[in-house]
Amino acid sequence: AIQSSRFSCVGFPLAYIFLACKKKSMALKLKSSDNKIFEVEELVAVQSETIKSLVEDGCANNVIPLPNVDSKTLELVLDWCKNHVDVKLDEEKLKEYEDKFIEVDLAVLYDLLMAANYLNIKDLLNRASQKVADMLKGKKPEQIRETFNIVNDFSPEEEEEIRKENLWAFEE
Amino acid sequence: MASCSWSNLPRELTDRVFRRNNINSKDLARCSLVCTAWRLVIADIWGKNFSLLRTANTEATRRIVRDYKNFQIETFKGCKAELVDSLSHWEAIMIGPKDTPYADGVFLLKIDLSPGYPFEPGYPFEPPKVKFLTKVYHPNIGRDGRVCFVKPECSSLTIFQLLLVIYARFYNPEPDDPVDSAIAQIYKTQRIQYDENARDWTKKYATASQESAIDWSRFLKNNKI
Repeated sequence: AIQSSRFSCVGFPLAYIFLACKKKSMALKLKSSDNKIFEVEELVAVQSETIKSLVEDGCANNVIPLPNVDSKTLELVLDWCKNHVDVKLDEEKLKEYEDKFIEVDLAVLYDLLMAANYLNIKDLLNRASQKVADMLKGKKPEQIRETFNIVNDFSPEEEEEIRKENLWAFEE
Repeated sequence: MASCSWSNLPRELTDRVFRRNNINSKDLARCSLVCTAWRLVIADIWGKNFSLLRTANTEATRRIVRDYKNFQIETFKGCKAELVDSLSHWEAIMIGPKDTPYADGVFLLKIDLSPGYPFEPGYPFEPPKVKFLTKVYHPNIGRDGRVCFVKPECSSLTIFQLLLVIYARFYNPEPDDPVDSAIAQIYKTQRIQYDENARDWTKKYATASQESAIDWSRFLKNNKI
């Protein structure tokens, strides 16, 4: 009898606190590199491990500055986070959303990759690097350089040597 | 955008892209010709043996290099192989699969490829010589660690596929084609006793503290051993 009464005593406030927390879902303010303020629900923002650890350390009461992410990218990233709050909702729809989301030009993809890395958002990081990998797949070095706008910085001799070393990769 | 420069992408991100599982060793070899930064990241993925790999100058050794490069990428969970001191001398590690008497055992293997040329056909025409360095209680593995490959088609397998075949033997011993006929007999007639013996040996010999030519500590940690 003693045990059960103690249980109900403790149980009630615990449940209450839990509910209160859930209901509140504090809004966080994020500041982009170009000084725009984004107000988002905590549940959305804490998908970023970086922001999550800031919240856990109690550093999230005021505005959280994100000096490495511009507003255009942050908006995209937050859109991704909003759509990943409850992943179990509808897998097919989510996949459709992700596929559409990642169809961006290379400059945006680059910024997304950098932002996902800085904010430490695992699923976005994976999806973005997968997209880059898809674009590399099966291409010749010249094609890759052209697509990604990369300058060939090898000397002719160096290039010849590397090509020889990797000859097997160029056989069909 | 001015800041967008793919050759200056932070190393960890480039590395992450190259390690996506749809990127194979051919793609990597091509990417290593794109720019110096990428070449260095890929050299890291292929490991410290990069300079060793460059000594490949015959068809056979090139095949070994291709195997090695593939292995760095396509490796399956619970198994890894590394070059020891030359292209023909490898050491491999396997973690005994769950749901078998070998579960969580650490098994070391030595693989010798005869480069062959110019005296004999050698690898890949001759199958690699594979030997367990760890004592294993198994009908297809001899007391001296010898593994029997009677099937001629094994000679065309890559090292990766070869290890996969050996790994599968942990699940499905073939008692009708034994190296150790005593163990095969027990396997056929007293399965419970066999399981118990195999478990005992695994506990006794297949430990993480075995001597090896390669430092496997990171691999063991990744596999939570």
